[in-house]
Amino acid sequence: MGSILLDKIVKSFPDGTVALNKLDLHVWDEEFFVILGPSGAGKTTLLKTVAGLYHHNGGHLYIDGRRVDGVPPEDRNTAMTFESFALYPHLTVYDNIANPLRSPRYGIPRDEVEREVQRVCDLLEIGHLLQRFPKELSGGQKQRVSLGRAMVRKPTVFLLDEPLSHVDAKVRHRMRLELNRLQRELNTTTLYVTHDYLEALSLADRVGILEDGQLVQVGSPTEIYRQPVNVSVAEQVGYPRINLLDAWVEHSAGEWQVRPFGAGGPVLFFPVSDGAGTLDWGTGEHLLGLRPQSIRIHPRGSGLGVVPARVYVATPFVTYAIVTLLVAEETELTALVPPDQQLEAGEEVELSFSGSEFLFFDPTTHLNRQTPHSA
Amino acid sequence: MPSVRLQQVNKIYRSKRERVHAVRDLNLGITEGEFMCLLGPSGCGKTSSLRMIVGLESISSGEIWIGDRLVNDLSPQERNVAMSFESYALYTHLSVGENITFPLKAKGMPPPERRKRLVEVASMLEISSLLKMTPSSLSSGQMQQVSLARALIREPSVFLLDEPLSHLDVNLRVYTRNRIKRLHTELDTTMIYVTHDQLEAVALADRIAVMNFAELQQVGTREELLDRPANRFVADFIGEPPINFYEVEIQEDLRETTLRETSGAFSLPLPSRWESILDQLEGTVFEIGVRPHDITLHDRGYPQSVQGECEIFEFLGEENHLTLKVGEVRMTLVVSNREFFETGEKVTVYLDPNRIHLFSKDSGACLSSQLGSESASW
Amino acid sequence: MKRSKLQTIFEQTILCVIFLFILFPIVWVFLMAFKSRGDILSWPPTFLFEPTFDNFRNILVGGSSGSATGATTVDFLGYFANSLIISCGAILLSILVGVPAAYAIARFQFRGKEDIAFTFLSFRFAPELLVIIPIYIIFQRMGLLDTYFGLIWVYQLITLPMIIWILRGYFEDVSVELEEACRIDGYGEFYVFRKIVLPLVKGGIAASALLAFIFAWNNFIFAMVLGGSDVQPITVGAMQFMTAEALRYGDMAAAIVLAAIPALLLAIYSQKHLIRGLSFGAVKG
Repeated sequence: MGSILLDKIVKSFPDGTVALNKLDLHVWDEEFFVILGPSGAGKTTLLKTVAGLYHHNGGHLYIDGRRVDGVPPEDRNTAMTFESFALYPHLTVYDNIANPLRSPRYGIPRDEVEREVQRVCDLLEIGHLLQRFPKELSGGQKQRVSLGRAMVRKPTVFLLDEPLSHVDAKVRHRMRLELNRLQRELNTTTLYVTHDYLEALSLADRVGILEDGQLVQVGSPTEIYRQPVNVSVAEQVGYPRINLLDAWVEHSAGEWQVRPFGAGGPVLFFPVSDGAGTLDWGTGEHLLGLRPQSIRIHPRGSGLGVVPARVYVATPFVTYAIVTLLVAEETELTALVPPDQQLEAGEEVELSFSGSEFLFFDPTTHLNRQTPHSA
Repeated sequence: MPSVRLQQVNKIYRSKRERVHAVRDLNLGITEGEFMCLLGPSGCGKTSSLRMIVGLESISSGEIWIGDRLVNDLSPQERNVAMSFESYALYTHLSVGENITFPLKAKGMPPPERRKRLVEVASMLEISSLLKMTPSSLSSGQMQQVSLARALIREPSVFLLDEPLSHLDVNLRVYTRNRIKRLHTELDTTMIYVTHDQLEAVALADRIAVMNFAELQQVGTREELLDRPANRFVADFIGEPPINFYEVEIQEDLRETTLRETSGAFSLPLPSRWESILDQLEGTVFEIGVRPHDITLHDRGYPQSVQGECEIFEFLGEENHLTLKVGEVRMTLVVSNREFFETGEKVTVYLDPNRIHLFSKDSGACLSSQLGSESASW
Repeated sequence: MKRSKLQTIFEQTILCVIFLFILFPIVWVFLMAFKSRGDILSWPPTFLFEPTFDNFRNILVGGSSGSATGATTVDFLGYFANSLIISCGAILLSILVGVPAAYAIARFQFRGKEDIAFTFLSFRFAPELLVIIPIYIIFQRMGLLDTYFGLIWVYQLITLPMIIWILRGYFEDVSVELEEACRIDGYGEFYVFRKIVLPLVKGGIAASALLAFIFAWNNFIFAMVLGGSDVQPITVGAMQFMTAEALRYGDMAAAIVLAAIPALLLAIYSQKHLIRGLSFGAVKG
């Protein structure tokens, strides 16, 4: 059990690329912290730096309050899973899992090794695989074995590198639930990196968004989703991708007037207060972020919508449908609707929006203008 | 443009030690201009089927018809089909343009005509700026486009795609998927698309053929597969999060018949439409399947209500997933992103009796779907 | 795609012809080793003859029965032992030096890495005759002429580059993450090398050692110039079958057959290792 503290960590490589740029991060004791970022953002470098596989060039690193700059990986008592699983191909599943216990550093007696491996196998339900070799396992099974190897020796911290990226969708869903369950049982400080925002939201106590070697936002899953600090965070979290529209906002006669579809396009009116609190949007040019699922589609003429639109493509998926809409013949909008809403390409519809879910960004800096209200 | 018809097609691979029956008695008709997806887990025989249609793999037995021609003994060139490979299979020593026109050159088409076609195809796929480059300098998304272009330039009567999106990242995948969908609308070519991703299949296909263990499980539209799955496999394979299964026994007392979960976690009144089938199936062990989207939060005490306690709550942005512990079993349901639950919280949910699927535990067949189709035919 | 029967037959015929062409000299030498002198020299050549072990007896026991030439005794077994000592010694030394070198070249980034690697390789294509005179003089001064150690040392020119270059590929195939995982499991660097890396390149070591052994076994020029009468290997020793009186074809053929046996046995033995080595090459799988 222990905390992780990164104090202005710099990691650059001999070829001059700077992977981590004065990164500050504090993962609390027993916290499940997820680093979310696109590939190439420096996620794996961050994990390997904490593990001691990479030496940072600047700053200080503390694990469980102990400064570990320069301490070799075998003396940090961390456990890590790799995106490639990194199972030893010449060893059986049993030997793979037992490997951390057999290190001469710990001198654990044989029967205890056996007991611990058994405990982990029961937890992960891989007892029947012990005599197999890694190449005889499916992706999901490899995943479990690599987790088993990481948790067999009660480490100070878990470092998990994209553990679910190489298992198929069905298994991924089950493993996600299982990781949730394991986390509750083990309560070990965990640093988890992924590019999949669903994993981040589902698993994390807190999420950190990594971009160009720095954390641009740290917050709870709901904060990250509802109050993204900038456009790129908003684009990364959520599917389909958030709609971004240039909008002109004015305050007049106790109402906000929002024009997201050009000067001549439809205007949206919102009361200054929406019941939950005051809406403070600020007059001027904005970049309006509109979550696809905050758009409701109504039949034309029903009077329920405020903006006329035409269906461009409607793609029904299993549990939802994604609809691309055209507003004023030029602005494309993506909407997420229930699958039973029958929509044909070319159909004329009208849209309504939930104003409390609007996000406003500065058109030049792309920073969130204000903290949006959420119910 | 012709349709494709497979009759009793089998594919058996023989090696020294083993004999693998990769495709078993496959019967499948694909109508003109249709977008058909072959969907299934890896090793289910979908790629073998595709390769037999193209002609890259011999047919062990059965017949494959393209249009009114029996193509069993025709070479791939003679079948007038085109295929885009999972690995793109671009010729690294040729430029992008030469790669695309390669099939035409092989046919002996004169250069001016080749150039004309190249310009058309390149502009359709928006890759005109890449034609002078070499494949090694392309991103994976661009390679995918080039591979599509090379297949399209022949103006094939049937177009086959083998997992074309599997190597692309999420955003590119969505983009290319839309691109393929639009291509199909524009060209009106018969397309056969192989994938293991249910979302791709559902998003693209007019009809989906679900395969497992070398056999065709079911062919149908998205709605048919979801509402009337043929068996347990199809019900489990399609849908996210996955469907909840429970073994049930039927209990009759004086007043009513109920479905009781075997461990006693919950019981439900028997949907009345099932009474007719249950009479004929005495002694069968049953399983029910309920999709996470068909379970709703409901406080009122319906007989179809089930009480549980929140074990795992997942905030996922667009929607939230809730996994309940009900007695000994677990139940996953989808709730709106405005609903939040704490671990251990008591939750009451309602199972829509019209949306419960009934399976035979032994055969895996979906009994309620059979009922549905029977009543439809009456 | 159905392949026509005719095409198959055609392909197989061609394969057979190539096979015969390549195999013929080997078969011919093999037959010759069992022929009497008369059969060897008969024209047209005969494929049906009474096999005799005289040639083998000649070279192994040193008798001269059946040979009309009154043979000078050739110490075949002595040469054979010399060959074994020199080749095995050279391989052992090369593995000892080459395995760490190949690992370093595969894994670590250091200045001049590619230059060093290339220098090793260049030993292979420098003509031996070019360096033999200076080496002769150096060896003469150091007293290394006609010693096992001298030959083992100079054979490194043949074996070391091969081992380093083949093993470099094998080491590069071992995912760095396996080593990293083992470090995190709590093992020091040397331990990781022994526990994870070495077992995974076992097949590669066997394969490269085999190839290097065959080249060392077959070397002629170094042994002829730098080895004296004490450490002559079989390649040089076989020359003694060409005497002033006659060419002892049968003895030579028998010597060749016997000399081929160690390499052949090694090849058969390490075939298994080769396949295992290759299948473990896919470390991620």
